[in-house]
Amino acid sequence: MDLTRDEREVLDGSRGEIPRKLLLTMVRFGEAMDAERLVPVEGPGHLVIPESKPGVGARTEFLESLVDAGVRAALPFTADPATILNETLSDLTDDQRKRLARAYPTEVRYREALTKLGLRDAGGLTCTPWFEEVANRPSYGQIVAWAESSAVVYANSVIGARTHRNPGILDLISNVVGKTPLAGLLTDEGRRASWLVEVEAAGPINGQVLGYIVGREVGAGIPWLTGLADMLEGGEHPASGKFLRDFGTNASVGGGVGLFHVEGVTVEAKRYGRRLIRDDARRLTIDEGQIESVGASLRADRPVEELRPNKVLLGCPHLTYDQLCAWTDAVEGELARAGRDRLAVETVFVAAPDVVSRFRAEHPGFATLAVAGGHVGSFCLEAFMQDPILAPACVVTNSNKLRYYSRNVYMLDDEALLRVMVTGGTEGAAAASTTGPSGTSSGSHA
Amino acid sequence: MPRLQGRAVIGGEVAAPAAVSRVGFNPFASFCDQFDGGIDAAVCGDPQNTELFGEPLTGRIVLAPFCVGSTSAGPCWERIAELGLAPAGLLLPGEVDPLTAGGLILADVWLDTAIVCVDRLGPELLDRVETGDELRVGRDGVVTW
Repeated sequence: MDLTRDEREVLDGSRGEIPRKLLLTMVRFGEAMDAERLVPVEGPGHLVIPESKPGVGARTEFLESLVDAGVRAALPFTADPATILNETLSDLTDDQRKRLARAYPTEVRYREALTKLGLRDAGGLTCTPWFEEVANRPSYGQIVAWAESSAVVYANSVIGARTHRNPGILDLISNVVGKTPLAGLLTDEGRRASWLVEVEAAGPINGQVLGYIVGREVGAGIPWLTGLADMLEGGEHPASGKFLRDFGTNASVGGGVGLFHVEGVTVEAKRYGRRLIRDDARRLTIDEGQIESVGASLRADRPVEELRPNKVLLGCPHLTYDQLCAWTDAVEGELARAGRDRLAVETVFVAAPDVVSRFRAEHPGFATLAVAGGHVGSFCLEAFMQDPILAPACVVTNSNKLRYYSRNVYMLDDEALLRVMVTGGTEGAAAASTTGPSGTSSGSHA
Repeated sequence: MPRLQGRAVIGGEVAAPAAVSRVGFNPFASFCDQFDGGIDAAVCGDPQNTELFGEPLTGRIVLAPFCVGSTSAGPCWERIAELGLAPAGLLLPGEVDPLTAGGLILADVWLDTAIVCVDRLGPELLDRVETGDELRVGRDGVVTW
């Protein structure tokens, strides 16, 4: 790899041991990817290591050693959702709180160190940093160093920014060093499609299901999808953004997709057309029957009466402001129809702190939801379900990502979720609730 | 003696028995139950990996077509190395992915724990090696057994 004179001096150790090891990490990362050289990071980062839990976050001592060495990111970064330590879930027992505190003994020090290294503020703790309320949205073509699979694939594919799928800790190191290897997804050639995926389906398509299928098939490849432009109206359909978020998240869950192109829809596909498809691209056809059968296999394999869920979790990845509003309106309507004023099953909606702040300030449903026993928070549902201290016995959701990474989590469509929230799901379907508020029910592309 | 030549991503010499997965190896799913330590050896805890689920991985050389999983791979590899529970090595037929490379480099640079990794060994790797085969990996990326 070509190194500048300045970089060679740092690697010689003349600027200190911490700067040497930080740069050495980036150089070796670049060598593993056959990078030509390191290039500057041009925009704020997004990190996947917000919490101190061993194996999930960085080592607290490591962060503090960087602080002591005077290291700091030039641009403030955002990071994935915070731990549940400061949330006020109604059914969290004192015993659970004590055990949690023991599981995160260095959390305060960790957050302090991360802040000193450049964490923007608590409002930036979300897996959806590009939402307008959070406003960490890179520009087209901008080189950034992001982690969090769902954020990386959105930034690359929909925004057209350029970032590796950085592993946790490397995300921080890239941003404090201010450099990232020029290779793979940062290069024009590395962004060309290695798979041509023809989607043959007449009806609306569920983005989660299609993304999951594509991810399973292409692994870490770059798919170019055809057959979706009409449904998404060239990206102008109001539901297009959600479809692309769902697709990307699940393509990264099912495989390791960091970039996808949708013909006539995504930004680089529109700009460059089929020149972006490699000559040796492999071909794949996905039809309606396959989408339907895989979709069915992801949904709960037994009726709600048998599951008897004790929690409904929504927001993996974090909900948009509009989704929060739509769910609240739907819950209010369903409560009224059922003649109830309290939710039958504890229901948790999670969104970025800045989105929740806006929701609290602007939407009257926030108060209604609180009175009805709903909870609006900003923690990570995946981390919540993976924590043995917290994980409830049976959870229902509409997120395939949450289902995939957790145990005891079952997928339902939105109408069924609404019934579970309001009645426990053991009463018949309310006739009026035919359309789910988030649009992730099977058959919808909203 | 069978021999394959690859690229040493994390160089080192190691001799250990193979643990072969013919599906993608997910480090986070394999190790996340064992981050608290207090055990002598890590076993594969990924129920979706039917070949390796329940197999001890500490000190063995893992072979897989590729690695899968989320960007949490970095802290995961580092933690399992910090606990002294890491595999001795990882062999891949194709290119190492950035998540795996980054995690292994973190362990090497910051914990001085080399989990030897050789990639670009070719597709025959997984056809020719079985779980339990005694492998020897050279600093130059040569694998023999």
